[in-house]
Amino acid sequence: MTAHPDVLRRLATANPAPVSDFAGLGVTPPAVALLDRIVTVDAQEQRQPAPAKASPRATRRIALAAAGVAILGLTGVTITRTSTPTAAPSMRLVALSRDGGATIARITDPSAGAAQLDAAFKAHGLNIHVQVLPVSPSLVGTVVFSDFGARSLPTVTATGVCGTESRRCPVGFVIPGGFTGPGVVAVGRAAGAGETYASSAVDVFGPGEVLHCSGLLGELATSAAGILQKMGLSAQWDGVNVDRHGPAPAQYIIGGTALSSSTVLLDVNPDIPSSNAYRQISAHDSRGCRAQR
Amino acid sequence: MSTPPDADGRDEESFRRAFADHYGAIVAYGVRRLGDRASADDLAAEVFVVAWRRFTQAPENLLPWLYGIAGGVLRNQRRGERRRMRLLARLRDTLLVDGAAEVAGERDAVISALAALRPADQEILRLVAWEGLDHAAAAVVLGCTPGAAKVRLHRARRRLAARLSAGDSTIPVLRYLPGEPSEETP
Repeated sequence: MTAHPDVLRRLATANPAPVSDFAGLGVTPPAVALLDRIVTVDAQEQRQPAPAKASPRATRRIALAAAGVAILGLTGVTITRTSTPTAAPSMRLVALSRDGGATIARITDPSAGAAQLDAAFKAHGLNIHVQVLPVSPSLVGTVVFSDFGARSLPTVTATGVCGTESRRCPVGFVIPGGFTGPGVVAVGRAAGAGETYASSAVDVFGPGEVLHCSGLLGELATSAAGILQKMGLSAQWDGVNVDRHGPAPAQYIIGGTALSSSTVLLDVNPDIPSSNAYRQISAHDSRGCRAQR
Repeated sequence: MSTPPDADGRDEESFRRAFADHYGAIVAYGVRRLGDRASADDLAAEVFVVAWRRFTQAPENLLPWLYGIAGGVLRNQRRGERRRMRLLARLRDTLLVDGAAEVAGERDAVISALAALRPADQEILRLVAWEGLDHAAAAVVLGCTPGAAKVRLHRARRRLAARLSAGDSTIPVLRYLPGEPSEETP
């Protein structure tokens, strides 16, 4: 068969990130430190399963990674729970309901300890390990990660629980008949003051997040710095040729993510994007803001 | 001297070797799909966390297995529109400042043609042309048989060639990058 051999060669030439550019990266000090944390954290977790605890930025990524969680694409969450990690043991922790041959599991009290949640599943014959992680406000009460090995279990979503009426969020999962585990589920809980988030909504300007209705989206970073300070927030900056930990750059704020209740990472750009996507996001972010002002 | 396996039967020394050998390749994979280094670093960290957890199941040829894990992690991330937009903007800046105009023109043409293909075609072409896998290794990543991967590759190459021949310049050059399928988003 004629296989157009030049096509692959042309595509290879267009490779935006050749592997050769990253050779030797695995033995650099930051990578080795990451490797040590992967092995160590996993060993600690095996010895003592416990809820995630506050950690410095150096360990944030590994905590995030240990749960297999990246910054998630959920926006628009309006949970108002104020519970603390000391829930009464008598609270119903996991709701299980039958749907044909399957079981629908919803974690109803993410503020409970991981061991309690594990036990709740175990009581129903399920070997599912639950991690409870501090997350940004809009992700509280949601399933931020699940791993069932080779199995892929459908997610149960809900509206009005963690988002606007048009948004759904994962609040549980469907366990097929005969499946008993193993599995790992990470559920978001409210973070303590200053506690680093293990997972954060991708949009710090979205409903439920700290900069929603702040009016800072599309503003110059230099103008926003004072307002952020008044809000008790320290900012880091993410952009092309921008010093992440430096002073506010003379660029426009076009997005961001909360790293903790007191720190935000803001995306900046020399211009305000003119794309439809940006306009739609801006409109979404400003929904309902007038009423709150 | 080799270390004894841990309680789960995992060989830490082998894992450390695998990490040293392949960490860079996974970061590169992340940069190609996510468009920026910070996101790629996060992805690589997650991949190796999962890989360590499942290391007793690792095959002899580790790299395709790691790419397969990376694909799963990406599908679990459900990145939002804002992050996509940011990554697109960043890649656009990179393309504008990086390389001679004629090189950028050729690259834009190829990437635009790639972007116009179906996601499944894009993926197998990237695995072969960018990750450097043969069709058998790509089959491991995609979870199909080598024969099926070979057929998919042939068809994808043919479609890419057709796109390039047509010189379709109406497809935005950046469309291909962070648009991972958002399976959970209704």
